[in-house]
This record gives sequence, structure tokens and C-alpha cells, in this order.
Amino acid sequence: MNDNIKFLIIFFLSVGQVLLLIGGFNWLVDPYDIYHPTEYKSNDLVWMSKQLRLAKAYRVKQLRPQGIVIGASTSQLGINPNHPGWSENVYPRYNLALPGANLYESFRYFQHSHALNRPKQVLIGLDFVSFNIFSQLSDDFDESYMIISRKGKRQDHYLNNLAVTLFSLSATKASQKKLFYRGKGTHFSNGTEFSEEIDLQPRNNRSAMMWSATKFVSRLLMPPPSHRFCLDDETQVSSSFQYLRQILKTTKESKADVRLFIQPIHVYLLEVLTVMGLMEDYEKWQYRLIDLVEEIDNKYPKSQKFSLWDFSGYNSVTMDEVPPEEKPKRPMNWYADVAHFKKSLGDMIQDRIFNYNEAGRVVPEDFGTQINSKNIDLYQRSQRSKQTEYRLVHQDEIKELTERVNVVKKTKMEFDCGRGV
Amino acid sequence: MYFNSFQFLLLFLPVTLLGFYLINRVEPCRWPIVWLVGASLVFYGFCNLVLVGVLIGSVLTNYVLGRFFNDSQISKVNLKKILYFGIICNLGVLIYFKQFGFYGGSQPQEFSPAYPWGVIIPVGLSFFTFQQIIYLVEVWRGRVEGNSFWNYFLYVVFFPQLLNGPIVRPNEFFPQLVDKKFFKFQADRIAAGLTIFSCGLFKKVVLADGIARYSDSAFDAVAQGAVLSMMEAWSGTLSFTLQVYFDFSGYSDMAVGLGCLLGIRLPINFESPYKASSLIEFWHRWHMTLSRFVRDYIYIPLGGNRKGSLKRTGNIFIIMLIGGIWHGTGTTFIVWGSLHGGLLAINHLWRQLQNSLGYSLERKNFIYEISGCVITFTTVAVLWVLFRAESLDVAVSIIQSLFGFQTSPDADFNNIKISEDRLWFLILIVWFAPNMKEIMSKYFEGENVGVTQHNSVIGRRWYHWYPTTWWAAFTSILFIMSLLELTQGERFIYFQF
Repeated sequence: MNDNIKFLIIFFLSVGQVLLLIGGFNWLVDPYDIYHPTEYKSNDLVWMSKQLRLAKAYRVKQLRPQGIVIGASTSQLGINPNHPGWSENVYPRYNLALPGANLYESFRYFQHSHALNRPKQVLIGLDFVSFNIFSQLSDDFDESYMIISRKGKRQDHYLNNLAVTLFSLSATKASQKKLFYRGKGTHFSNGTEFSEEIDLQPRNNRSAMMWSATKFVSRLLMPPPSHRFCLDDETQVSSSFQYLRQILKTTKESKADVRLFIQPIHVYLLEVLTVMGLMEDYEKWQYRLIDLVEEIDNKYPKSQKFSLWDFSGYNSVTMDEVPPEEKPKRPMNWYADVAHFKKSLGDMIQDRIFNYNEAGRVVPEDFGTQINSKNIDLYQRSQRSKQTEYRLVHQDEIKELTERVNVVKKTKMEFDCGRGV
Repeated sequence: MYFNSFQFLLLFLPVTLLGFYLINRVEPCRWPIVWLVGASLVFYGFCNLVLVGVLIGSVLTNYVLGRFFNDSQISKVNLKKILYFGIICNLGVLIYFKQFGFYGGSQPQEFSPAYPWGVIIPVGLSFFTFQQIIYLVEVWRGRVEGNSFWNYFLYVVFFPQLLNGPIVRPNEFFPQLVDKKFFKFQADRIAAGLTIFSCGLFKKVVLADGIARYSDSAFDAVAQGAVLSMMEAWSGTLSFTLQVYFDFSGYSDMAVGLGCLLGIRLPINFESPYKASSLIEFWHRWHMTLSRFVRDYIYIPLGGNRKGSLKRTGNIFIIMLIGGIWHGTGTTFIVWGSLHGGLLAINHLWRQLQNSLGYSLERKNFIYEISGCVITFTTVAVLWVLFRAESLDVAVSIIQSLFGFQTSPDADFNNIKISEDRLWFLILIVWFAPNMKEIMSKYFEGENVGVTQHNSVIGRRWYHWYPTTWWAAFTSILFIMSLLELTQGERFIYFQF
């Protein structure tokens, strides 16, 4: 046989066989739950790949949920859409929150879900840090996972999707991990993250809180490489508020029931913001959220009004006592760290938002306030006075926290967000 | 459409090849060429249909202008005027888009203020513009016969070289269309084409895209106000130095490989440029077809080296400055081009001094070569900073960090991604691995004389390609690895030029 013909036969046979083998393996193991999807039983545990953005985008494609949760890791970990407060008719429901998601990512995933099936109920968890215009898009994020383009045009990368899920190195690695995984599961079937170690493993909660407070500044509040925090900047063309506006407008047009809430961050985080000189920005952020929500409400006077809840601030839940130095492993009631909270707290948030009463579960009166342009001034004033009280009682803790945060603060350059002051 | 996309690899390419060879069997004359033109337009129009209009308009205008040069009734003076008119038209379109256009980009656009001019630059505009200028000049000089419309159309839009070169001369292209080999299915060409294409795809997808995140991480950080440590700056600089090489030479190899698959031999565009021991040599090895274009159509008409060393120095500086501006009108490109021009001029003066002192340039000294190679590589790498940086401020900051003129931040403060192992591995490849021209030399040599039997060639080296079982296995490994990493379809750096 001619050498060249032999060359071609070997080449095509090798490529064909290896691809068939890899494709077959990935199809059988199905790391993204696409080809043999598990049945949707919201409380069942499933294994999800660490490529969550890919996995959730595909999961949504199959489920076409009618109810979704949007937000960052706080929502992914704490908000279980299986809560009975949701409308019974809204089914299935899916937690589409993603760790580290900024508003642009949340906007794209909302668009994706909306294009597949207009959600009837949407719960939006709002994190101050995800409004930072310097927050980075995750490495894992890819526009091609979305069924719709930024500008709203339908896009289906069928061939690309097939290749990514069957014939890619990342799919093969994910298959291998799934095959050798021996735990109960990483997520509930409804997309909420499962994390049993928060409650089960005794750990040094005091240092976890202190450490996460400083890490919050260096990694989330002022993320590298910019080390800046701005809600707006003269030099930036896009603003997170614009993405949120787009989400809200779309839900109004599709007559969805939308509820927004500011995450119940631990008061340590508010103290961190004060040390960093960002408390004023935090209060302005609340004002701007109210402005935005009311602006859209006014544009659609006949539709159901949005509700905007603030669970942050100084209340009996967010002031959850940090263990003292002598008993650092004493468990905390609600928090895993300064920002992430337990599901039990997520349930209380949903009790409040959906006005639901669960037998045996008492939601403290001061936890959660529906804020609007009429009560915000008074509300913020009361928060400031509560902050003063808290500081008086927790002087030593605040001192230690301030010292730690100041160390990080010194490494950050001053930046005025183009205000020219 | 990109070569490194599934649409291209799994749909476009097989259908185009199959159609081409099937049509060849039925009517091996005009229709295969028409088929390739059609396929090339589909390839080009895949992303933006409107831009196909710009391409077709440019082809038609130049074809009509080219026809005038075959008209014996037009005087020489008028023909020269037509030539100038044609060149001005081509450059005018190029300058218009370069000045007023934008590249689309990857940033979310929908909430940005409307772009003042709103013109998208056709991908590969400068490549097909240069190619058509060459055609006009060569036809005017009488070196190329007037060609049929479809042949000319294919010369400009032939998809392997349409977006990023290599820039092909008419006398390299047209004779192949009349050669009967072009219309025949030849297993040796397919085998060679697959090898070259797979190597190019591997260079792009595995090597260039693999290192891209390390370079982006450093450059983006500085663009956002970070100050890099020396280590981070060198990581970013070397990563980009390697990325741009593997990205562009990978594309060129893919183009040559695709040409082979379709029976057309395209010129090699890179010859291990980072092995160069001087800047002069570097530019002889980097983007060779553009260097050739600049030499023949700018440098020599300006006087070249015929009018004394001072004039030559000036000419070198001018062409490098034009080269810089061709990449973009931003300050960074102008400074990049000027510095290359200045250093090239110094390199020429140094050679002149060596000559005048009686030192023969032919006499190779190992130490001299090695140190020349390291100095050239380092110089080119540092200058790439200007090429890659978003602004002059960013470039200056990185260059200051490179030489330790900045206060280093703590180790993980900037969170810059660094992969030392990958850097060393790629540096070893660019310095010691054989290049595509060397690997395929026996095939190209054999093809020229009509012989491909490996036992007939003298001076066989371990890396020479022959259609053996080992090469088939190696090629398939490269192809499979590329395919498994081909999830993103990253753009080629040079598409924007």
C-alpha cells in the first residue's frame, strides 16, 4: 500500500477511535447531567462539576424552571427554593446563583433562563460586592453557554456544546472526578449548594470570622488586580445598576413576581466597611436600589410592585455572637463566615419575604425590613445608632477587627472613583 | 469563522474538501475554483455578512483596475496614474477603517454609549489590501499576465490565507492554478497538509491559548492600576512573547496546511524567529511575507541601501515606523515601530563597523551566536510589551517592573497567574525545536522535483517528515490534543490587524 494512503488511514483511524472512546466515556459518565439527566427531586443530592457555570447553564436548559434564585455564593449556599413560601404553581424552581457572580453574570444567567421559559417567580439576592465595577468575570464564565446573546438574539452553539460536553479535556477530567467521588453530593437537585461541614465539623469559628473579614477585603471587596471598589466610575461605561435595571424591566414585561433582598451579612462586615471608609457608599447603594426599584415600578403602574428587603444592618440575627477567645470553637447560630450563612437563616429570610409562618420557627421581629423611599432615612438613622451601641458593647472585638483590616487597608491605593475629590 | 472552531473543523472543512475534489472529477477547470471562491465567501461571511460586501467591492474594483494594464491602447503615463489611483483607493479604504473603525471587542456593549462612527473593521482587511496592491503593481510592471475573474477572485479570497496571510505574490499563486496537479486528489499532499495543519492547530490551541491567560493576567492587572513585581512582569512579558509567536505562526502553519489539502502551496511565514542572533535576522524570520512586501514595495522604492548608509538608516526607520502604524495608530504601536526601526538601524551600523574592522560576518562564533540570540530574544520580548499594552502608561509601568524600578508588592497581592514550567517548556521549544520549514523540507524538496521517496533524499534528519506510521501517529496525537482543548475558539491576535 502507498505510504501516503497508509498515513491517512492511520491518522483517521487513530483520531476516530480516540474520539469515540473519549466521547463514549463522557456520555456514559455524563459529568454535567445532560445525556442521562437525574430526575428533579429538589431535596435529592447530586454531584455537580466545579465548572458550575457550565453545569448550571445546561441544567436550566433541561429544567426550564418557573422559579429562580439569582445571586452570588451567599444565595447559592443559603437560599433553598424548596421553601414552601414560593407559589405552589411555580415548579420547578432552581437556584441559579453562582459563586463570585457579579451583576453582569447574574444578568446573563437570568436572560438564559428567561429565554428558555419565562420565570413566574424570581428571588434576587443582592450583595454589595457584586456591584463593584472592578469585580472580575469568572474564568469559568463563557458566553457560549447561554442560549441568548447579550443583545437578546437567539444563539445555539449546538456543535460547540456537543464538543464541550463530550470531546473536551475538561469534560473528561470532570467525568473522572464524578466517577471517583465518594461523598453524598455537592448540591441539591434544585441547584442549592450542600455543605454539611458547616454544622458537623467543629472548627475555630472566631478565627474563621476574623480571617474571612480580612479576606473579604483583599479578595472580594477590593479584588486584585485593581484593588478598588466603585459603584460607578467616570471611566467605566457599564454599571451594575444597568444590568439590574434590565432584569427588573424584563420581569415586569413578563409579569413575574420578583422579590429582592439585601443579604444578611454579619455586622463584622459592616464594621469592615466602616474601617474601609465605604459605609457611606453602602448607604448610597441602598438608596440607589430603592430609586431603581421604584423607577421601574412607576413605569409599570398596573403591575405587581417589587418588594425590596434589607436583612443586613444591626439586628439580633446579624449580631450573632462571635465566640470569645477562650472558647473559639463555640458554634455560631447562623454564620459560616462573615458573609455566608446557613440554610436555616436562608429559610427565615424566605419566611419573611414570602410572609410564611413555619411551625416552630420564629423569625425575630427586627430581622428584615422592607425599605423604600419613605422609610429609608429613618431606617438608616436607626441603624447608625444601633451601630454605636454595638461598638460600645463589643469594643475589644472591634478593636481587633479594625487592627486586622487596617493592615490590609494600608496595601490599597487611594482611588476616588473618578469623583475628582 | 476561525480555523480553531468546531464549525470549521467538523463541518466547513470536510464539506469544502469533499465538494472540491468531487467537482474536480466532473469538471476540472473553472467550477472547482468557483466552488473555492464560494466556500471562501461563506467562511468570511460567517461572522458578519455585511463585511462580505466590502470584500467583494474591493475585489471587483481592483480586478477592473487590473484589466486596464492589459489594454495596449492606454498610454504608459495614464497607466501609471491608474496604478496610483488604485493604490490610493486601497490605502484609503485601509486608513478609513483603521482610523474610524473598531473591532467589536469582547466587552459588553449594549449599555455603552453609541460608538461615534459605528464602523466595524473587516477582518483581515490589511492582508487582502496588501495582496491586491501587490497584484496591481505586478500587473503594471508586466510581470503577471491578466487573469480570469475567478482566478483573481480566488487569489484574493482563498480562505486559508484570507484573514491573516501569508501575503502571496501573484506569481506564486496563479501558475499553480494552471498546473494539472491542482485539480487532482493527491494523497501525499493530503498527508503533508494534515501534518502541517495539525502542528499549526496544536501551536494555537494548546501552546498559544494555554499561555494566554498568564499574559492577560499580568497586562490586564497593570491596565487596572496594579504595580507588578519583577517576577510578575517577566512572566507576563515572556508569556505574551511566546503567545504571539505560537498564535501567529500556528495560524500560518494552518494556512499552509490547508493550502496543501486543496493543492495550493502557500509560502512559509515563520522560520524560528526567536533563534535569531540579531534584530536584522529576526525580521528576516518573523512574518516573512510581510517583511518581503515591505522590502519590495516600500523600502526599495524609497531607495533601499543604494544611497548610502545614512539614507538606508532613515529608510529602515521609516518602514518600521510604517509597520508600527499599520498595527494601529495608538502611541504604543508608534513607539514600538520606532524603537524597532532605531535598533535595526543600530544593528546595521554595528555590522558596518564590524565589516570595516575586517571581521567577517560569515565566521560563526558559538559564544557570539548564543549571546546574540539571548540579547535579541530579550530585546524583542521587552518591545512586545509596547505592542501588547493598552496604553503607554501601562507599557512604561511594566517595563519599569521588568528592570526592578518599582516597589514590589507582596507575593500574592496582585493574584497574577504565573506558570514557570510552561514558560521554560515553551522557551525550549522556540530555541531548540525544528521549525515547520525544516520538518517539511524533504517533502517540499521532493515535491519540487516530483520525488517523495524518503530513501532518495540525502541528509536525513530525525525530524524530517515522511509519510510513516510514526508520523501518522504523532500527527493524530497533536490533532486529538488540540481538539480536546478546543473549547473556547480564542481569536487570533493578528485578526485585528
